[in-house]
Amino acid sequence: MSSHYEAPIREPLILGEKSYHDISVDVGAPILGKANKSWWIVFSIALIAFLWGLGCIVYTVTTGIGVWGLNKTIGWAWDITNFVWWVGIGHAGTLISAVLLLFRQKWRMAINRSAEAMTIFAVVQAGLFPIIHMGRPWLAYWVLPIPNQFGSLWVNFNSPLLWDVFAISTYLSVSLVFWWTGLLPDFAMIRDRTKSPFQQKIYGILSFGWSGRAKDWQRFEEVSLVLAGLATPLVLSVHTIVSFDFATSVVPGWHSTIFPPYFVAGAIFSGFAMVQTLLLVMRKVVNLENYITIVHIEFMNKVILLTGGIVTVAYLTEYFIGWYSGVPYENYTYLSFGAATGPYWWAFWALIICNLIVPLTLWVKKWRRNIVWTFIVALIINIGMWFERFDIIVICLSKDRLASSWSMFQPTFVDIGVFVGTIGFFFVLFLLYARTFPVIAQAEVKSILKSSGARYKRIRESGED
Amino acid sequence: MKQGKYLNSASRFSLITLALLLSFSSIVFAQEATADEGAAESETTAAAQGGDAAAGKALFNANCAACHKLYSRATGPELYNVTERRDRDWLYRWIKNNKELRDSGDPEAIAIYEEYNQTAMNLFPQLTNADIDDILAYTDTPKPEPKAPVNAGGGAQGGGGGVSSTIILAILAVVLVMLVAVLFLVNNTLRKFAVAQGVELPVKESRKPIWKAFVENQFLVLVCVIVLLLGGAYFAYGWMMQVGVDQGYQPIQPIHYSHRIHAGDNQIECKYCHSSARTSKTSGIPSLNVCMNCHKSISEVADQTSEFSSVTEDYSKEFYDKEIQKLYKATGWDPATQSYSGETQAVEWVRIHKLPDFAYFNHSQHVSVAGVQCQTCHGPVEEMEIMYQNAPLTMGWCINCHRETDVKMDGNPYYEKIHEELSKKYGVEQLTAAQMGGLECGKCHY
Repeated sequence: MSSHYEAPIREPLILGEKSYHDISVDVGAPILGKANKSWWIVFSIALIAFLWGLGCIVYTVTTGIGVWGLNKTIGWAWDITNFVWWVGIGHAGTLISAVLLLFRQKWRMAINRSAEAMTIFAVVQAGLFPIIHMGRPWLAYWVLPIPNQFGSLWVNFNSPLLWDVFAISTYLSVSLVFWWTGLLPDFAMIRDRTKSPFQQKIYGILSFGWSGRAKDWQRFEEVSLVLAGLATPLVLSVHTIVSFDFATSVVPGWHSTIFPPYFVAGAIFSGFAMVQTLLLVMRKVVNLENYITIVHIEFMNKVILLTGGIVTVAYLTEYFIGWYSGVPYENYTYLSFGAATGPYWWAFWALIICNLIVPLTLWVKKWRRNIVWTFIVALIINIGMWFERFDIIVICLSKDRLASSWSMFQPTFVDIGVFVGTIGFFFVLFLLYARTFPVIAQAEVKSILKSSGARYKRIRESGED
Repeated sequence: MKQGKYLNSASRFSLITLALLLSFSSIVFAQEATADEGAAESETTAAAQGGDAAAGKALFNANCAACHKLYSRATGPELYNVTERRDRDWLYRWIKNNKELRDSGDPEAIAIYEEYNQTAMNLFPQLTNADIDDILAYTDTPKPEPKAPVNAGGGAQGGGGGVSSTIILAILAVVLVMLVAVLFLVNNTLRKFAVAQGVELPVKESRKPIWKAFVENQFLVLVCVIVLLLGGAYFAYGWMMQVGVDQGYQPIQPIHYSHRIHAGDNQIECKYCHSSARTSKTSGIPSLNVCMNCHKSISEVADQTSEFSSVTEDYSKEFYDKEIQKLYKATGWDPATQSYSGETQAVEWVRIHKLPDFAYFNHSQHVSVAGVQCQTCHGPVEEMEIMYQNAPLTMGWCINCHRETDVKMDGNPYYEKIHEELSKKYGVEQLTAAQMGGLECGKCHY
């Protein structure tokens, strides 16, 4: 230990008198124990919401897309709003596990597992919308360039909607592999700790026979680093491609070169908000307060502040360019004087208040470190980022170039039901995950125990070693 | 009902070869036979009535065959042995100008006229008495005996080949089984002898079962799995690629209509019946009036005695005659009275070539403008006893032809300017349909 230098200014990342064994016990507890009543209650609610959403999806597909509130002017509304929202939420997980790995941020270790799980589950929700918003979803396989009977009729690679297919599917598969690779040592830990033969069997399969040899670890680290290097451009490109759905169009308010970076910033902004929402509850329920500490929460709040600031700058830029361009059509874009005072004024101001004003409170250290306030802000940001996508899509479409095509969008219960259903599905998956997967990457946390554990910091400071 | 097209190609091939051989020989024989017959007949009849039956046949076919047949009623009465029923001078007068004969109050002439629904016979003043003698000589030709023996002999020979080969195979199989049984018995007996003599038989060592050896060989297992996966993918993809393809579709039609007889044997031009192919997007099924143009006077197929016979082993003359009766039933035609009853019933043909309604296909553009042969898309229809779908009719099939086929520019002033410009653009002499824009979505799907 004497050879180790750690700046005394850094706050400990693992609280309590934790040993390696304590970490294993704490991480394994939810999996090896039984679910309590409140878990079952929450799970049932989520399941009901999911089933209700499933019914709405079946109703949509069997009856037709006309059961939604879309009209001829506004062909995209809640469907694509929710799609972009869910994809955006997914981005925080990859950012935490990949980008923060490249930047050697030790505080990511307690949160990356759950953040990645959130990514996977959010991308699954997002992936539903491109399919169910199709008029003929049973022909969805036509988006793939497969040799066929039609004289090898292929897809047009010029459409960002096709890029979406590649982006989302690649993103999901890479995230899944990255996540699973990291899970191998943790599954092996559960396999070795459980007394139930059934769990031994299951986790034996899931851990792919991980035995933790030096060579395995060396390769494990290399693979993690390579995947992190691959996932980082994915984080940027996937949401960039999603933003191209709008940016490459000719619709005033959509056709904008700022969209790619601005969407990515918004994605990380909303993704971190969702991580906060989930982890603040989880650390309490699963007793992980010693691992997901107030320091982690503050760091995440700082990322929220940063990305929220970028988003704010983008809003101001959009508003400014809308005026500066001198194009009259820009007067009705989602960030314009027309939008602020028009029929969708409430959506405009919801966006401004939720994304621009409320997060500013996080500049105050006291509030930033306040768990309750953090939770409230995170929820508000999630709502605000939903409104951001809604505003971009619906406000810009509702008042386009021809005044004769101006229209308003009114969601039906099916629109809402499908959205509620995806939230339910997300929580069904996340709750199951929290009961069966090691929610903290114990192998990684063990690697920082002696550098960042509270006990070892105290020992170093007292000069005992 | 779907049927594989080439399922019995081997037997069909042998049949065709046999038929070819036979037809060559029979043609030679037939020519000799008819020549002999004709000579003999002409001698006798010319001697008796002073007419040449051979010349009469030509005259009959040119002037009378539209309404008369020798051995059965048609529009007019049957003419075989008419010379025995009528006075020869009366016949001269009747044939040359039957109207005059009727107007003169001849009771026989009026009776005939009434019997045939007051259908007036054409006047033939240009025929001389000699001509009429020739015709009448021909009408006295007795109905020829069926050439059944010759055909039957050939058929028996052909059929005998097929039957005998199966019999031979069966016999061979039986012999083989018996040989195996004998070998087994011999082996058994020898063993028993050996045991009785006290000779020790070598005991077989129990070897590792082959499946266990296979499972233990990882490389082999891996190779097999890969082969199985590839094979599975091959068949799965192959299966999916034939979904919605009706190639070979051959439904049972309400009337057994044979394109082989009409377009093949009788060489009726395709567009005689399917006339709208030239001008319309739909090359329709001909209406029944087209059928009746000919079938008013053709109520039976030619039987085996005739050189025009299309009767085959599978389909007899009785079968075909019954099918023609179905046509008469549909049109309400009564061959006995040679009149329409007025009770009609449309024939519900089963459509074979179906494109979905979102595909626009125009026959006239392909047939009249592009000059595409009917057989290019519909296959050898003139050889089809029962119609089937020859081409897959998938979009890939259409596209492929448009990529390969040159547009017929010659003699079409519409293409003069566009040909010049597009040829320059693509640097080619001949433009394909694809280069003319024949692959654009809107060309076929709007």
